[in-house]
Amino acid sequence: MGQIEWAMWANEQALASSLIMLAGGIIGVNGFDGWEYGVYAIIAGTLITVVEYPRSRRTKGTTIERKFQRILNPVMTKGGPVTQNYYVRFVSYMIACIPCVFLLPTLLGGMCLFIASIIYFKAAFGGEYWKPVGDQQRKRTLTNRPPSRLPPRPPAPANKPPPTTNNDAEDNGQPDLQTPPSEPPPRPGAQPHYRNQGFDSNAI
Amino acid sequence: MGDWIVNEGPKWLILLIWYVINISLWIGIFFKYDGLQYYYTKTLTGEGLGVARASAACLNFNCMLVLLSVCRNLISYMRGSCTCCRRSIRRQLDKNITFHKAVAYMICLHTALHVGAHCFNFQGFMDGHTSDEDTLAARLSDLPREPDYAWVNPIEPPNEDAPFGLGLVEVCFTVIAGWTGILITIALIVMVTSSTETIRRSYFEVFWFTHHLFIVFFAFLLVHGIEGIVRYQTNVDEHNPIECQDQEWGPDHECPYPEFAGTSPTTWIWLLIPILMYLIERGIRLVRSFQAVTITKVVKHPSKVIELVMKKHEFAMQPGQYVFIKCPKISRLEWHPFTLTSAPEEDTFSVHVRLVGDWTDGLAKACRVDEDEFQASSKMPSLAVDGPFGTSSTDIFNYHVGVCVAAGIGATPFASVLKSMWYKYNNPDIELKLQKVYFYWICPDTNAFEWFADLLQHLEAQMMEQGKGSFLDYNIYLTRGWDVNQARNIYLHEGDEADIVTGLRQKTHYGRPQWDQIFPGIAEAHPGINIGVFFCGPKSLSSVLHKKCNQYSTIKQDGSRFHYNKENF
Repeated sequence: MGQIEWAMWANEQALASSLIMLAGGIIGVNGFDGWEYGVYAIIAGTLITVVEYPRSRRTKGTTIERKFQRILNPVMTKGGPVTQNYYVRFVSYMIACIPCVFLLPTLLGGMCLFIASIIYFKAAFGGEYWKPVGDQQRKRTLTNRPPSRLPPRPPAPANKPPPTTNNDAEDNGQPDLQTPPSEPPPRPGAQPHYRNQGFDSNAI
Repeated sequence: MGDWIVNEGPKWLILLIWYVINISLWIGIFFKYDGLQYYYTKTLTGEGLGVARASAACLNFNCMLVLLSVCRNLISYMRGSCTCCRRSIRRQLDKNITFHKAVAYMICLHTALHVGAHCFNFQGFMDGHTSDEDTLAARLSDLPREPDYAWVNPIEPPNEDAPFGLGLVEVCFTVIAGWTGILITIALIVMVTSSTETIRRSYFEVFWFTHHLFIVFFAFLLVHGIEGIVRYQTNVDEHNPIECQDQEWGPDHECPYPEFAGTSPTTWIWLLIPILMYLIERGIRLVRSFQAVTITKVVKHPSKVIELVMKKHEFAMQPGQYVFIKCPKISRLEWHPFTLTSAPEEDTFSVHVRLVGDWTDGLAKACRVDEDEFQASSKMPSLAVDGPFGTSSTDIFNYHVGVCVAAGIGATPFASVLKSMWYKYNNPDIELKLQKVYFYWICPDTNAFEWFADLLQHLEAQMMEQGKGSFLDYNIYLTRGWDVNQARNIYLHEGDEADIVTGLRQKTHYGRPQWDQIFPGIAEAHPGINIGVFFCGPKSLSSVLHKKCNQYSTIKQDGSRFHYNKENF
């Protein structure tokens, strides 16, 4: 489990907890003893939802952003350690879940937030912190949009024999520029001694 | 429209039946609590009682389904060997994991309703004790606690000194239903947050271990209702609550004391059989884990892919199936799923493993992949294999023409299918219905799939050799495009026999396939038959293909119909 970014799970758990706290708070203000804590839960739940909504950029791999999360980027980056440091989140969520104990509807949200804060401690201990998701550049290409045209190819010479391909049955949607064979070129980047077949031709 | 019914109908029918059962259960149970025997109980709680119990019934039903939908061996059996229903119905069993998720969402919804309503119910029970006025609720709460049939309010008089809502919280923990409820709801929430797509795809082990909290969930769910604290009145004939509520009660009055009994728990009735079946499933897995698996070959492919070729006694598979593999040397508890890449006609079976995490890296190390010299098979780690579990790629042999579309990592199951097709095509003893296969492979680049390109190369070479080149028509689309250097390379090598990038005779295409030209082309080339379309890859492309299948299917006599099948991984 060494390569896991705990913050990803902590984020999901904390977001869920804050929404449950919010819902619990809304229930709690309707005729329960200790309804004041319901008001607290609504406010705290909303704040935590806002802080947890933007997903941090992952160290490895592409990060899938939540809808509209970029709007909160300035808030998150200007907030400094309050919004970006996970130790701060661990401590503040620990404290934030205590008042939820005083009201039954908010109890569940509080306990889930407690779990989230522990996972955040694990994340912070691993050196993780919140990073804004920048523009994720894909490597090895000049364009982000997939090309719809063929790469540049020399025009077919007039006296070429007809192509011997398997494609005569249907139209592939591309102009047919297949030319007759000669010998195969070396493939870029492939190392010959790895090309051990997974398909045993003797078996046929 | 008729084509939509053929492709989509069974799925929506099953969903409809499931929704209808949920709604009828909910409404039925909700109105059951309007009965006279619950009149006094509802005086204490309000309408919340009906809501909570109705949601509880739906929860029972859905918890049963959530377990059944992961009984893979049972589902594989019904899918393959059992011929009770038409194939179009049995195909729906492939969506068992999708159904599992839908049921899980329904469980979350009903849990929310159930917990919310019970908060109000508990407060109502407590108010019955704490209110000073001479209300019916107070009278009911003051009924004696002995004998057992006399009382209706399940809560003992609460601690009135507890500040704010702590009294209610304390009460919640004193009843079994209370603390078990909190425990299982927390288990449910943790299970749900660790099963989101991000966590499942990138940190599989977190998902795997936390999902085993379902054991806690089901164990405490079974005892959740054991105290029977929701009570109903048993002597409604002698003591009609509506008439007697304002009158004096007693043996010498018109209305005797009301008598009550607790509703017995019903969850075990719903869950007994599914739990038993799931235990059998895990038992099968346990037995299989003791069966010896020999690794006969380990192949290192480019881009951090290794191939394990294995042998197991009495292992029988179908193309496109997957297995769960455990390597006790790395972890005694983790089972990881892998698609099989070998064909059933071979003596051995194989999987291709991408080294992307701790477990897969550990596997590569244990198999001594980086040591170049020849390894004796006794040095190979022992593995356990469970499965194989079924998907829908075996159906391709039931069509005359098949269209296979693989996007990115979705190419993996098709390795097995293509190999199997080729074996069957060459087998003179088999009369193969399948005569033509169109294969479309769409990937950003061939990175991590050089082994698959190799496979296509071998197939191509053999087809050329035997003059059977027209069986398989494959098209590779590289969507990531090309850069300046590659462009130059392609331009210069245009006259070559094989493609510069993949080494295959058929040139690679760039960009995305134009389905609006491909589908009509295939339909025109093969009029009047059913064409099976098989896809494995991301959801966005799946819905595009699905739409195209519906769009280009015609129910005319001489038109062709595209039947869409999706793999689920």
